[in-house]
Amino acid sequence: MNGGAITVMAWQNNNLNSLAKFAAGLVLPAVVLTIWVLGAQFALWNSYVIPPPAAVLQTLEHLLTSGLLLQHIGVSLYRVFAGFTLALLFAFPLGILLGMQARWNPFVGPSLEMLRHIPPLAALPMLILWFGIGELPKLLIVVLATFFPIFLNTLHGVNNCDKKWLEVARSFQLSHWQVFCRIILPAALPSVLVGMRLGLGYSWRALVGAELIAAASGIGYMILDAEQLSRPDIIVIGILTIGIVGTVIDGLFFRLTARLIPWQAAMEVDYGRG
Amino acid sequence: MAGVDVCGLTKEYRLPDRTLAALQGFSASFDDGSFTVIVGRSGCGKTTLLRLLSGLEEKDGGEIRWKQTGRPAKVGIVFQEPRLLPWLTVGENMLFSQTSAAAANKAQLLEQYLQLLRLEPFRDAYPAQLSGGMAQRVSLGRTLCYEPDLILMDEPFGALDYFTRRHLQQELSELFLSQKKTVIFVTHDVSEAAYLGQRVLVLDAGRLVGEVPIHATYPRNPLSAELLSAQQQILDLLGGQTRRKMEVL
Repeated sequence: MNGGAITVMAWQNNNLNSLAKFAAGLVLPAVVLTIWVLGAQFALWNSYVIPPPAAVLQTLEHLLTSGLLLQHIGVSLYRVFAGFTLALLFAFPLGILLGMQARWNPFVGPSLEMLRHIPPLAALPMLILWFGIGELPKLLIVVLATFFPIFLNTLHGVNNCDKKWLEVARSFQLSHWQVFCRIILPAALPSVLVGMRLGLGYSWRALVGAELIAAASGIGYMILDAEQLSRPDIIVIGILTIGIVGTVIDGLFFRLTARLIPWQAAMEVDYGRG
Repeated sequence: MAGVDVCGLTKEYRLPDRTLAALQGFSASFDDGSFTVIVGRSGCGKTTLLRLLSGLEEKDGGEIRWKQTGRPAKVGIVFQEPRLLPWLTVGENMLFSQTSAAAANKAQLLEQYLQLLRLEPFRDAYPAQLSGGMAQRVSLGRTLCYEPDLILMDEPFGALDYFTRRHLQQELSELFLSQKKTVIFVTHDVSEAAYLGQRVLVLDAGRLVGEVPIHATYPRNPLSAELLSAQQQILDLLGGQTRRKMEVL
């Protein structure tokens, strides 16, 4: 069998696997949905505790047509991306710098290690005290949640660059700058992207937490407002929206990652070599 | 121009509990355009010699004198493992050393060596998609694209199966004929040493213990009387050292 045929078969197998995985992932939600529908149908629980799917769908339609849901999603997304970008601007260069200059690690390493263990939401009261309940505290919560995954993964990527590749670069007399651009940066990229992906997930979670405490808009606020208005149907929509938007963001970022590091996909396919 | 004289080269590695002498006063002369094979057991100092010649390590003593120019030649090294950069395609890996060349020159260079190494169909493949032999050919191509005066090869075929190794040895001897580069090739395989080298230097415990010249022309028959006799001489030189060590013990 030639290499081309093996590659096509590997690709087909991969596609079948992806489809099977996707279908397998739908099994659990389908089971939960069935229980939910049947439970509501046979009045197995109080509709105030768990609202019936039909009521949730009706409210969803109202929230979508009025544009309220999209408005809250838009506000939350803006906060996530603004905070994420800000964190990236600090965390990535710092990770690179400390990775390249190991002698600075003793000065900043212990402090960063201590800060890493503080949940961002624990800082919220101080942030509100300093900056009020405007946009800034929420942005800073996202920055705090995103900073460490990006920073630590960038540092890890730089520190774990294979010394053998650096020797290859030295053997070709590459300058320090060329070594950085052509070896260290691309070698660290998969790790940096993992950090960014983790950071996005963390920032989304931390933001909703912050919006539950101090906000006048956003998905977290929508849930809090629904609680005060005794509207569990809106709470369910809010919770599902958080999960769905988080999954979509993660999925999009995963696709972006695949485009940025196409060689990773080549490494994951089994080419059937003997 | 890449002839080099090595005089009394020494290199020691300091381990936590002892000092390991990798090279102990190694001296040899490598002529421009020659193919020299250095053979010896694992740990005899072969790789250390290449690393000192390539500038990847600092020597502790002795001298490396570059003939003709007096300054270090452009040295390319093919490592034991391909060391290809996984994020670059075959073509990009081969042109890795070309940082300042014009695009047209790069394309021409790449074309030349892709053709020479029969790698054209794999130009856009990633290293993860290549077999071991193919990856080692790309590694050789990368070194050739660097256009070095001196090529150092550190057991490049050591991890390959017999047939791939045989095939690559053949290709390498053809390349040597067409490129006329100075090659220093390190191996622990005696038959490989006799098949490839115009001269085989036998190294043991960091010292040169003998030299076997081989005058057969390329392409060679590995089972010819001359190559078999050369192998026997190499084995005798290595065996003599073993006997002497046994006697001391």
